[in-house]
Amino acid sequence: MTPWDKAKIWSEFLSSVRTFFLKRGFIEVNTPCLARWWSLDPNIRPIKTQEGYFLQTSPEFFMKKLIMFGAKKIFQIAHAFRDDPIDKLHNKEFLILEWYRTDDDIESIRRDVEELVYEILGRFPPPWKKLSLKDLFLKKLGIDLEKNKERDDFLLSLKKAGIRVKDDYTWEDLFECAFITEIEPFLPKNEAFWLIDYPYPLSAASKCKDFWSTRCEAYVEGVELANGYIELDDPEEQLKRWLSRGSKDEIDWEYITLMKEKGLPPCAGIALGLERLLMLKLQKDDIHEILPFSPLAEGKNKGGKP
Amino acid sequence: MAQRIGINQIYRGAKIEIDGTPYEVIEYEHVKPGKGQAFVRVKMLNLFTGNVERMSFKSSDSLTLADCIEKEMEFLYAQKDSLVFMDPETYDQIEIPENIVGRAKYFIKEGMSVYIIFYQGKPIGVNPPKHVDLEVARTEPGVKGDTVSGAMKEAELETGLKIMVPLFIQEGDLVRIDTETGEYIERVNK
Repeated sequence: MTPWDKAKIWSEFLSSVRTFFLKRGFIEVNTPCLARWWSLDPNIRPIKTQEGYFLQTSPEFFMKKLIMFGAKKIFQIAHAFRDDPIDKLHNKEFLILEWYRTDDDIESIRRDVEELVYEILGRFPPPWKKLSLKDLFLKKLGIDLEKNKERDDFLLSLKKAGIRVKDDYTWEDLFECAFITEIEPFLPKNEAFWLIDYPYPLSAASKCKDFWSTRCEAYVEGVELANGYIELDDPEEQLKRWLSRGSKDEIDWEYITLMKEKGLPPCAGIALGLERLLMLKLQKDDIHEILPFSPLAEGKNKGGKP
Repeated sequence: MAQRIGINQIYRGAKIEIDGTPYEVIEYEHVKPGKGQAFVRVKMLNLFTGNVERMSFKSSDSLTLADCIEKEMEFLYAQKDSLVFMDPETYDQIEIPENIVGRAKYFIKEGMSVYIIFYQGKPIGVNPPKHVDLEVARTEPGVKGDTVSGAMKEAELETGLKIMVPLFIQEGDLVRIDTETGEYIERVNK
């Protein structure tokens, strides 16, 4: 396929995604790619310009500002940028499909994803099953996460379960190490399902009920497709999380002020990687195969492919 | 001094030491789940037990290379509870207990060259060549005219190893074996 062939496939694909949302009463929005601040997600590295602007890692905070100004159901197809190594499922720039439902809950958002994926792929009809991380840790490792809220307890429990972890790992490191080693390899590979019950420390801007966050992650044929949650509406908590992750000059103070003055109405949102969705539609296992222009295209013959 | 490498410099076959146990890297992959950080998931062979273990490392972790060397030696003979090998350069002989030789003892015969893994100067494992040719010691005669393709029967080889072979194989035949899977590959001419 030539880049032009691929561009035509993208055009048709994006217009069916747009139609899906417009038919359901969503309004398409467009927000800036560049800002003085960034979303301060742990483990995501933004790309910074020489003059101190950040390329967005997702349109999340601009979209939530629109919600504070009255938006109800909005979606956006946006270019997003993350300075991660390029591999089969990652590129430094990608198209993110992000949408929000105000005065609604995460169940409706999950339903949107299931219906969208079913419409685009023609497989995996809703509803999808839900797999709870709480249950998976209990069944697979005999570990009750709620009884292991303290890092030292968690470290000891994992060692007892025979998992190699280092003594200097944080709680998040421990969780991720155990997940990657003993849980993720055994998740269903040919199905679509939701991973739910993420512990609070793993969820950047998600509203949490005690120890458990509202975060959920959609997996389709072994590919992580979308990550969503009920949005955090507490400005103090938002500021606390941001300050623990970055400096004062990287924070979106306007967002904090708006949260305090107007308040963020109850809303749920999700972000979905469009390259991955199109890759699944075309039954490929590498997003670079479906990009009209991939940074790997020229590297393929030079051993530049990771 | 023990040499350290960053986890991103990991390679297949690397010998790594973790908590006093030497491992060999079988395979590895980079993983980055959702909003999580990058990890490297590794499958390793515990060189003491022969068990395969899964481990994951943060991309900032480093690993200690194990003080391991592999040396080509000749298998001389087996005696009670141990096997004797010789260094073909120095003619030095070493005795390795049967439990350390492990499954390899079913694949080697006198005069064969093998690789011995030494950890901190002590032998911890014996690697036979990838393919070995062994004689069939015992097997039922094949039924004449039985041409069902893929039909197999049991055979005991000269080393005591029991494997499945095609029906046409007879006692005294030389057969080629894959030592990783322990499976029959083909009959070879003597």
